[in-house]
Amino acid sequence: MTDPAPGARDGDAPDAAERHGAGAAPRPGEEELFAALDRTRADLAAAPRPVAPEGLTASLLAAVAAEAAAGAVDDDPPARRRVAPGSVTPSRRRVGSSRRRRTVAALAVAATAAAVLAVVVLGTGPAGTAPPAPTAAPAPSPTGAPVVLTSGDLPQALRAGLGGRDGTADPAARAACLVAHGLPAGTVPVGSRAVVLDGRPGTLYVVATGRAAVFRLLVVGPGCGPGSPDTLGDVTVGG
Amino acid sequence: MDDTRSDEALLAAHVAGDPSAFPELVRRYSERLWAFATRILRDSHDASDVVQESLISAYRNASRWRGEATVNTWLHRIVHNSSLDRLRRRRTRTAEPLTDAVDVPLHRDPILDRERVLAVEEALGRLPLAQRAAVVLVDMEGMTVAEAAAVLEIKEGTVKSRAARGRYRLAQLLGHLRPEYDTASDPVGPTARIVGNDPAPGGVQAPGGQVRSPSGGDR
Repeated sequence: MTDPAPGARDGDAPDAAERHGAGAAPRPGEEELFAALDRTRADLAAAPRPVAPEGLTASLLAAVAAEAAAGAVDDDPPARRRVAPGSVTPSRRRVGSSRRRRTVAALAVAATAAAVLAVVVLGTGPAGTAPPAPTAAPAPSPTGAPVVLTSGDLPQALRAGLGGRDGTADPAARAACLVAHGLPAGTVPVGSRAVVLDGRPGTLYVVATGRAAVFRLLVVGPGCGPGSPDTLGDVTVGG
Repeated sequence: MDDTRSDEALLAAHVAGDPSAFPELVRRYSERLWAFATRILRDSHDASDVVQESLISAYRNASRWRGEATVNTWLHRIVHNSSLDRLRRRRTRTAEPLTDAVDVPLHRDPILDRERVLAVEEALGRLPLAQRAAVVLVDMEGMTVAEAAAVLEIKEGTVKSRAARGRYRLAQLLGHLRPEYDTASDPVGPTARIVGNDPAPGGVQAPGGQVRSPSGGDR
């Protein structure tokens, strides 16, 4: 370790550090401080980037593809959505209008053909009774009110699941929930959103399937965890 | 075939409706932005979420980019702001005990001095958020002061000051300076917990923890 610069006065070190950062020469007595700061900068420059998880880029590309697909299907003006503070505010995307109309038509045909490939809705109410009205709203999400859906809405819920945040406090719990649905460990949803599906509070996850423009929309209840799927809805859309 | 278009050309092509353009930007920037977010958030899971949110935001709002900053700084700015948002939510949502564990995945390189790399990452995590961001951008990401100022949306002089003070603190934590050197001159003080940013309006309290001296043990 290096002794403090013998000639440096107390309180001068941060100022000396600023002069070092500006490329100034050390004053008498500051040589060792400057040398220490040089070593620190060298350590920082030499530190390799943290290793990104395998599949990160693929997952992000899938998220972008989902956004593109959802944006093309949803021809309505985008609803106001929360974006990261300081980032650009939402605006209408200027996608070429004729290209967009063709894409919308093609996706509409594909969505109709592929709609509701698998729908699993688990209800716990007694047979023959109306589903109970929500007696309590889900815990307020930092992102705002949950999206209210019915089973019939689920195939069209792709856009609702993108860009929102379910407020999941524990990524590990989310990961365990997805594993309970047969997904590989480490799966990161393309999107997620707090929802109320058929009157039951839950979380919608949009998961890439590995096939272009095909996504799994999974709605899970609050009890979803290791060995306990608590599935409210499960549908694959797109393609 | 590699896409040789510049970042700016890709963004313009995306705005014009080219479906291949934005994915190319994702391929170019995903790991770099993730590394930046990881160093800010100190959590690789949160970093993945933040980068995804940020890229979706960039995808949607690309038409608002006017070229006043490079695409590189623009994307880093979005990630930085998303990270601050995540830290605010983390702070208001949980009261979980802070941990000194470093969730920064390291390269499995037998030649690499893993102990030294770990020490750098741990020391980085002990900086106030504002200093950490400045040091990461300038000294690790290789940005100029002007670029870092554009990312952080502060003045260049503030970047210089934060980076310099961050380096000074790191020099102490890494053992390049004796800890005692800090006693009289560091405004934080050896017994203070390093939390929060330099004083700034709307500053965010970063996750902090007890300071561990380079020789071990908690202060």
